[in-house]
Amino acid sequence: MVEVNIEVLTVDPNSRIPVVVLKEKEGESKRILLIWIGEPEAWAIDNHLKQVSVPRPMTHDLLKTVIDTFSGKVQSVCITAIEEITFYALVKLELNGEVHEIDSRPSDALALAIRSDVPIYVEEQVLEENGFLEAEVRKDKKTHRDAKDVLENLDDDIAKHYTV
Amino acid sequence: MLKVEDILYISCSKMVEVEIDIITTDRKDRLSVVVLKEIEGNPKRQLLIWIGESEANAIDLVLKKTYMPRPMTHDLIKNIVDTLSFTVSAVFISSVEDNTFFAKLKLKSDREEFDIDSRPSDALAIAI
Repeated sequence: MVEVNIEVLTVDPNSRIPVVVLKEKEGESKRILLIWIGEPEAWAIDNHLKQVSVPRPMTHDLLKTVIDTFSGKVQSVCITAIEEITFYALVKLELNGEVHEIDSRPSDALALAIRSDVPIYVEEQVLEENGFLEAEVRKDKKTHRDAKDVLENLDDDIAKHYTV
Repeated sequence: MLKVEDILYISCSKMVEVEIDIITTDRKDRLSVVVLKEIEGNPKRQLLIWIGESEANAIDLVLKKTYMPRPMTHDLIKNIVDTLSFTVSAVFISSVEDNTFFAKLKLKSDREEFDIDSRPSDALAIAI
């Protein structure tokens, strides 16, 4: 498992779908992984990153409250696999000394990770097969076309793209 | 037409059981509305709650029994509750202030019971 950070939340200029840009935390040449996510989950991540205060708890806040109520502790989240275009993630949750791994979409796992202030990991194999270096993208137009478009048009103002 | 007294009545200590009658879109402002209807009684009163689009989708997917390849956010919450050997025993729409509806999610295990503050839409999506 490799630890990553959320570098930025942006919008794919071609498909207009939100994209989370994850970047390796350690290492000299830090690999990048792009994950296309749903709009509601993008808002959940964006609101928290920008510390937007909402009058009522949003769905991911409720998720966090449910876990807190049980005195559960999120330990970490991990993006574990990619099959075709579907990403899989696990939420590692500790309760009464027992650790549970709960199947999740990466977007929900990320929204929860930032609310719980816990590390985000990606399985090495996922990074190996789907990660890339920024320098690679600039050179190689063919295989990284989508990534190139995303990285060259970073725009974290998602409110501009979607109406609330 | 629903009167304020009705809403307060529903929110007061006396709880009235309702079911989701339909989920629809308000033609004027294009917002999603969930229509709750009393289960017992004659005539059956209705309560309209305007909710967010993503929560409306979440409820709609369950009502229409749409198969989703990956767990949606409300499934994840439900899975966590299940994993911890709790059940969602009830949700109740508890009050309304300035057009904002408040709800509580009742979680129960063999030994404990918790009430968790929630938006009605999330509470409904988890309940069903």
